[in-house]
Amino acid sequence: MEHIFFNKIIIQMNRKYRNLVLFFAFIVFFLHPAYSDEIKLLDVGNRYQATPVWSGIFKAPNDVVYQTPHLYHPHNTPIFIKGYYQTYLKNKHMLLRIPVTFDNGYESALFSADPSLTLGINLNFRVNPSILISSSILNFTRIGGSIKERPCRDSFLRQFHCGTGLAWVDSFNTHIKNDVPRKFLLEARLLF
Amino acid sequence: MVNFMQFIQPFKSYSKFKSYSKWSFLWHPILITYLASCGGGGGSSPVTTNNPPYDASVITDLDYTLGTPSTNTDNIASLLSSNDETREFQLDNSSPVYSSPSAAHSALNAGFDYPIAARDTNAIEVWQDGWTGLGQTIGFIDKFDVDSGFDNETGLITVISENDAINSHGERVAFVANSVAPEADFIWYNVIERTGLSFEERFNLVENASIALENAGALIINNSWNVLRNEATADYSWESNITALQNLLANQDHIYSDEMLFIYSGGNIFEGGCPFKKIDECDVTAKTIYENRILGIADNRVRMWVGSVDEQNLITSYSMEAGKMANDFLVAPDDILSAGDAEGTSLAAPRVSGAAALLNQKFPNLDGNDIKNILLQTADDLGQEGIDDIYGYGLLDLSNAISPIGSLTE
Repeated sequence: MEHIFFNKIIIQMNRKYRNLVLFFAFIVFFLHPAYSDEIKLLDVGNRYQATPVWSGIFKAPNDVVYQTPHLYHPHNTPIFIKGYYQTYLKNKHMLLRIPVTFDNGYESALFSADPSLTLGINLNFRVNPSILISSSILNFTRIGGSIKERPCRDSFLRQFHCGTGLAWVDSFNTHIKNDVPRKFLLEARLLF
Repeated sequence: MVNFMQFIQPFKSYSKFKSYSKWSFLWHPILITYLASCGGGGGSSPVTTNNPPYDASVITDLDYTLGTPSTNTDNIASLLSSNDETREFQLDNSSPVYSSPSAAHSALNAGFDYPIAARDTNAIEVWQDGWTGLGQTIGFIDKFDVDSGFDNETGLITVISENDAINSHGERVAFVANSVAPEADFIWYNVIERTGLSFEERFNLVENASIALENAGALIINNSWNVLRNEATADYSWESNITALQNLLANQDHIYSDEMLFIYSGGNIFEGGCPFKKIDECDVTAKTIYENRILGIADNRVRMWVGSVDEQNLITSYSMEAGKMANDFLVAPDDILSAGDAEGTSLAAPRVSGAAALLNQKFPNLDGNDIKNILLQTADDLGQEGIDDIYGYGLLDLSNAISPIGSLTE
């Protein structure tokens, strides 16, 4: 429910405004000392990482290779920031870690993605000095990040999917989706 | 409107094959292998791109016009199943009469699941995604040997008896188109009565047929029975017929829909005794259109011509060649069920008609001129490099036709 609620708010925002808000929220989240048992910035870069993006190089049904990477080149400057927040609970027997990834989206002629904030959960519980149980939900939730793909057109204005080479009408099952696979991990470690 | 599937579909057999014949174990692995080799092989893998150039262009929403695929692709064999296995089938007038289309197929086309036109046009590949001709209507102006079913008002054939054998020129032509576009609707106009008619009466006969087919919803008109051709070539009285046709065309006030495409068989040299090989020398319509173009007179419809090639993709000894109509000409094989079982450009033209139906279903934004140009421009070059006066643009290739043409833009 919370996920849907936030998504609705984000969708209603103007894209530019939303971008700023998400970025600001991310910075506040990481820099506010009240929440900072430990904060770590793992990676920052000028790439779009939330989903794959088509290369624009494809082989058509007639086996001819077409080169259309320019149609997938981003018009914006993609930025991603990865890090986590962690805090100890219950006299340091339990460690809660929240991995966070911010991505400011992707804008190209045929593929666009909204800015997104992806959160995970990781809980480590020390049962005794030699046993550590770790459970994680990777990509627990993603706010924003909706994706839109568009067709390219040939000289007869026929619509194709320039990522796959399929006719646009045949391509819907191949479109990139925003649904990040949610993984649950449970791990027990014996310490010697 | 009559659905051709209801009377001529040759291969109802396939669903039957599954239950009782050797075909049942043949088509499955072949189909599976085929699907495995085709499916998804063409796409690029998604990759993450880096360091983009900045361009503040605006993405706008587009209004997409999309075709409607058939959903009848779970069992592709059933696309060729027939509701009419009661009709006898005869390959030509001197061939044995088979009890049904499937019996003819079993006897004459052993080792293959589909008739040869489905294979040599690459139509099977197009069917995989549901592009089977569904929702498209092909009109045939031809000679049909049917016992009854004429509509006196429209001239169309409306009923064909289940007991009426598949044994006339028009039915065989339609059989070939059905092999390429198995779910297209077919309608027919019988122009058998032509002896004793003047040139103008013949012209009017064809025009009435074309208009009737247009009114009945056909966007693709297959002309494998050229009523005007022989008249022009029999006594070499070219100029008078060309002048007559120019006048008739000039006085004709009907303008056909620009969504329509008229596909003509190139013609065979044994028809009418024309001693030449080029269609602009032996086909009064082609010659007249050529002359009109020189004079800057626009045609009232989109036309193209189809010659025939043999198994080596060489123009057949009897096929007319492109000549000065090379920009409107391509070639296709001319067999019915299996290699070498028939000859005549009449059976090449319906391959192109079927291909046009598949294209029109898949890309409904195309008009007749677009479809013509796509089929021409994507033909495999044969003969001399480029467009030549024998093969025109070359050999029909549906794999090329469904692939992008030219530069791709957003």
